[in-house]
Amino acid sequence: MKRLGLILLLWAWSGLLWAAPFVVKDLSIESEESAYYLNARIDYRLTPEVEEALSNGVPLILKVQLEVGKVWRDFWEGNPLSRTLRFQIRYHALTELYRVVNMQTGEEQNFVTQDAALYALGDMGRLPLVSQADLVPGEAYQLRLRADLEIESLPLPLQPLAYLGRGWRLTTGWTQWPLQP
Amino acid sequence: MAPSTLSRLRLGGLSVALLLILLLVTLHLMSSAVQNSAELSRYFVPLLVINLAGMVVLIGLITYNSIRLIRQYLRHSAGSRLTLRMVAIFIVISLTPVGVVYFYSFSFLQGGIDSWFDVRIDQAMEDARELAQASLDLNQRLWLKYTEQQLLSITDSSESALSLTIAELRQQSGALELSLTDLNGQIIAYSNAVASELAPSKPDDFIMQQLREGSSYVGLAREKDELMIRVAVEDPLGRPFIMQGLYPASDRVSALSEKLELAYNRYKELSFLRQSLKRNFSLTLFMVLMFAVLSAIWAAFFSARRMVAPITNIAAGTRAVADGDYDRQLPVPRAKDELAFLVTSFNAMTRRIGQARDQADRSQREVEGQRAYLETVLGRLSSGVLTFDAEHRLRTTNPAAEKILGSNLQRLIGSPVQSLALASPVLRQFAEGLQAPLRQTQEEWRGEVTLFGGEGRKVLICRATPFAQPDGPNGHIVLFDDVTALIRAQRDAAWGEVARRLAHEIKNPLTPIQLSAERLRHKYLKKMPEKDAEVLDRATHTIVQQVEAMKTMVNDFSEYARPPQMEVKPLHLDKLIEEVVDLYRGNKAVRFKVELTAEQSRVEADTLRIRQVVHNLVKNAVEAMEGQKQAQVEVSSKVVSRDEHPYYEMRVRDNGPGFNESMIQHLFEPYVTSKPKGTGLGLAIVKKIVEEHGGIIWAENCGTGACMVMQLPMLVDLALEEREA
Repeated sequence: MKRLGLILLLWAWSGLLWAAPFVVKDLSIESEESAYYLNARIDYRLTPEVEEALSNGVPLILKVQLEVGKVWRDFWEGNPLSRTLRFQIRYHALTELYRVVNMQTGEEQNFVTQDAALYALGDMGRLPLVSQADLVPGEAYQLRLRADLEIESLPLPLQPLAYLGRGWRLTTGWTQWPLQP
Repeated sequence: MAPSTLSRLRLGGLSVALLLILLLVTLHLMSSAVQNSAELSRYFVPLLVINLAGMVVLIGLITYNSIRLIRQYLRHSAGSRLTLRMVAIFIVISLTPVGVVYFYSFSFLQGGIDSWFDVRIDQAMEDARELAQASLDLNQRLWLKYTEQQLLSITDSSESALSLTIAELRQQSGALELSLTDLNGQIIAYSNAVASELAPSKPDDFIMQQLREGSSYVGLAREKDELMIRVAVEDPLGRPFIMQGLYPASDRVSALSEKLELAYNRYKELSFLRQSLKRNFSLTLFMVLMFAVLSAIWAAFFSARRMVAPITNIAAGTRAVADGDYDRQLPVPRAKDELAFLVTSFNAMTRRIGQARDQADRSQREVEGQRAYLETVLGRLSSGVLTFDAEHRLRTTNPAAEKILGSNLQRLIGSPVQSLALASPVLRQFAEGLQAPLRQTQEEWRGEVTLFGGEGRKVLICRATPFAQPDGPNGHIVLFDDVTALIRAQRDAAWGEVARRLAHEIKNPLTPIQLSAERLRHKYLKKMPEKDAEVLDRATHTIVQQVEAMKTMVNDFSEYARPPQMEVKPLHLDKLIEEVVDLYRGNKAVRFKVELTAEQSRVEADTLRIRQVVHNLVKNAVEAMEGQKQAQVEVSSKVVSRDEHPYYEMRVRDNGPGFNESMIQHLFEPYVTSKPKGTGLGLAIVKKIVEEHGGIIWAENCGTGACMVMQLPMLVDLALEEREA
């Protein structure tokens, strides 16, 4: 049993090691017209395993979770913002295009290269967060952001491998950013 | 051990059965997660971990069982060999089909999945894609050429003119969108089929980069499920223009390409997922195999133990019975099979053996009780009892027999009567006396046997009675009593009567005889002539002297025959002895040695009579030393135990010639004396007085000299002692 526990620990640790490829960059929160907007770049770097799946037509869902809440809040207190955004990227071999779909709006974009598609996916310009009225002035708030490759959305045969194998646990992890009304 | 084995097996079996059910459920869920359940897929890893943990537990159980079984086998424990053999058979029987099924399942799985993705289908799909692309390429090249020609046809320079030209060109070409930009992407002119679209779709950076590098771009685009051809060209004339056009593919081509793209993408995706699918199925199949194998092995252990347990119990029970434990009852298996019948029969057998043993024990206890009772009765009998079997071997004896015969007869049990003769002279005489009666097998014999030994002559009245033995011919019971004392008492009584009569008859005429003799002397002595007077004097003197002697003798007779009238009181005998011996110390010819070690001991006695005894014994010893040089009389006392009762023992020992062996037997009888002047009544009176005090006295030769030993019962009455105090 001890050995099994050790293996599981190593497996979890290796998963953490692979958490590096997604990075949040150039994040800023701007206040305009009584609302807060997010400007950020998420650098999506795919591992060879994920790239191979993508190039073989497997659709990938990238999930971005956004939360705005008090730094010190009671556990029963809700967050002013708790939002999940999903984007799909898929390669179409016939047209040789990468199609990016904003699953919230259904908006589609085609890109000739994977880099361009990922760049467009990571570009989160002027994303509305909360209105100032939702926040208590003087209270310390923080924005928590996390971007993942959603394993649950992968085709079923791939999911066990994604859970157990290397190179599939792609995430930025939770990142906190201060938000002072 | 036995009852707990089955219950432990049942409990363990239930636990492992629950574990197996859990594993089966998790395996089923895993299988569902792999195949078609998106909900379960997220639990794949926890399910796998639970499964692995369960299997580790199973492996642990199997390892434990294996080690235990091997140890039992090496220890040659009961049932271990049978268990090992059954486990091996079960494992072989169960693993063979499981292995075969796994092998073919695995082959089918690998082959089956691969067969879906046949090489020819792969190639066909690729060919279809290339064909479609080739077809679209041709179209794209045409639109590229056409766009370049359109750009060349533009000669205007003003923005308004260019806008009009672009709109016209778009209409001519049927493009969905046509725009003219500078090299930085700034729009110079733009026209769209949909009037509301005010801005062109911006080409991505890759296209702009390609244009900057001097290459035109043509590619497919899909918007709103509609296939289009995107073209971006630089002005071949070198003007800073870039023309971009978005041309629709024909509906037919668009529809077909969409279908093809969907099919191709799906096929490509499935093809890619093939390895994962195979891996997942293989993993699940392997887990199923492991589950089956481990379950089979554990079931083999469980079944073997369960089947062997009753046999092991029977083996242990048999061993217990062999060791004499008849109370062992084996647990009866639930199943009503042959084993259950065997165990039930075994239990019935041990129960019956136990009952028989209990019965035997009871009988033995009864026999022992009877024997103890008989021994007690025999032990308390004053008569000697001996039994002899048909071969005249001594079988039983009692303490009275040993006491009478003065030998330890216990050690002679089992010896034939002839062997008794070798043990001691007394026993030899006794055995000789019995040999003839023992040969009589029918009639009872009564007779007298006289023995001569260290304690003197003994007369035994014997009776030998044949008795039937349970296992053979008649044995004999010999009963005998020591009647020596009785005979002696009768003789003493006769002597006493004789003495009393003799004294009475003799004493009466003695005084007249003496008076007559003195009268004769007094009357005629002076009157007679001197010569006659001398005769008369001598004769009368003799008469008077002899009459005196006869008077003394008659007084002694009277004393001997006198009935006992004692005044007993507690007496420190040591002190009395000291006083008596002191009277004799004036005799310098004899040296006295006194060792009295029973100072505190007292006896209940008549002081005068006991003093007479001590006087007599000391006097006898002194007189026996007369004329002997270095004469010594040793007087000692001590406390001895006789029949668990304390006795005061006094010994008077001299260093004279000792007693004549033949004389010792009759020493205490009247008229037996070694002294010329003795009446022979001294020791008889001593013996009488001692016996009147409940004691005994005997004479023996001890080393050099004679020894007289007197033993009197000691006073142990505490109440009396306290009264005295």
